[in-house]
Amino acid sequence: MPRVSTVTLAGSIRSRLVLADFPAKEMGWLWQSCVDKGVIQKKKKKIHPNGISHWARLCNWRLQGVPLQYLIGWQPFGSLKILCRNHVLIPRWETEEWVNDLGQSILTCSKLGSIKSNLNLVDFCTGTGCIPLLLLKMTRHTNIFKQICAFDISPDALKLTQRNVVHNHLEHSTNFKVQYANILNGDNLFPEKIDMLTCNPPYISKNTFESDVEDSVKRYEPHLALVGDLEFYENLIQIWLPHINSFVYELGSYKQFNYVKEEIIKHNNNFPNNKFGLGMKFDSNGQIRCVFGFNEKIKSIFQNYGQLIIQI
Amino acid sequence: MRRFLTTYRPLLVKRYNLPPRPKFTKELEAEVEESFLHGGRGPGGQKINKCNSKVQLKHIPTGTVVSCQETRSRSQNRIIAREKLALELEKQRHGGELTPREDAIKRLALQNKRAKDKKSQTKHSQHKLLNEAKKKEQELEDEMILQTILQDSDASEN
Repeated sequence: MPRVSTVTLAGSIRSRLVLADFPAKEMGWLWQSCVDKGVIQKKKKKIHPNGISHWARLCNWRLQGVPLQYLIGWQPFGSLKILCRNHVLIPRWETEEWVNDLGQSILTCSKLGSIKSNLNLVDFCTGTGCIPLLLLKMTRHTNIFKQICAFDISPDALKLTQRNVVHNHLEHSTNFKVQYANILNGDNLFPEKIDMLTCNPPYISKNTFESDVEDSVKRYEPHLALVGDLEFYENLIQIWLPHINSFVYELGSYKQFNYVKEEIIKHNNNFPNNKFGLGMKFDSNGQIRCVFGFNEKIKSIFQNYGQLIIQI
Repeated sequence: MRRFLTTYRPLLVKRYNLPPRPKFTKELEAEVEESFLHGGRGPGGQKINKCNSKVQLKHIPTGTVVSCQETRSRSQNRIIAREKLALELEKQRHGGELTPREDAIKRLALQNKRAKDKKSQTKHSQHKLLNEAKKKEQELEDEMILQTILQDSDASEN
């Protein structure tokens, strides 16, 4: 039998354990999720050992770094409960923040009457579907969105988006479509003019993926939704810019923002009739998080949204 | 001589009618500085998956700081932190003494305890009376039986 030294063994075990941020609290939430699922019945004083062992198994998985959201099965996102499953990226609080702000500014604009209703909203790389769902939920009493379309390349994500629509009782409020599409190859996905294009593309470049990304994310979340460089921004400029009135893209670095900015300046010089304004948005952690652009038709939403770089 | 008739209404605290919790008003919102702590400065975004975020509120005039990370939802945490701050400010306003709500809750607990004691006392005394009555009955019955036995024995002797 080959011998493994205790030092190597200990090292390997330590590398597998990714300790939780707030162990006690997370254990409590896992317990609560067991109660919610009915594995543990709270009313009976004696708890069945199966329930306990289920909970212990969840805790053990968490200790190995499995994201808490996958174990519990959902994540709060604004006022929604977004279901999370394996192979689909978990919505982040940064996304929640900018979507919330966007929804608020749309609402205030519709109150002032400075935008027309019946907008088309398209979301690329939708994942769990959190962005269009939250926007829809916030504006469901007004008739701002006529049609909402969510595209993704992963079949798991599409299924999950469908489930999320039903889970949040939003299936009747607007024409909500979920479609398979490879955006990088696709053209003419949406024949009408798109009023608002949102996207949370994979934006971690390959060089920084190994060094910067958290262990648990690296191991358990889909790389398809994480690793990318400028592809989606190039795609936006080359294919979609003539078809849209405004866009909001999440991003991770100034490099991506600079690329979009330079391309927009070129575009504005070439097409003086269809000029685009540009701005960026920071999250509450002080990091650059969003790039947004807009033309004359939908200008009012973005006037107070973030920091404007190019005015129109 | 004329007599004054006075009535006494005991001031009972009702469970459903406690003084309200202090509310977080719009004026307070202007005096408050809010910050979100996500465990260190970093790249964030897709690179990191935090399952909760801490909300910290600072009331600038008094310098009171309150933080909350009870739930996984940030909006919920913000609401709870505001409630906490309002409670904290109310406590400070009363300066060490009990706030009306706390006082009412304390009195309610006392009142409930008294009611419970009273209930058990009456139950006890009733039980005592019943027991005594039973004992008396038993004694009477015993006497009757004794008498009949005596009568029977007299008859057999004769």
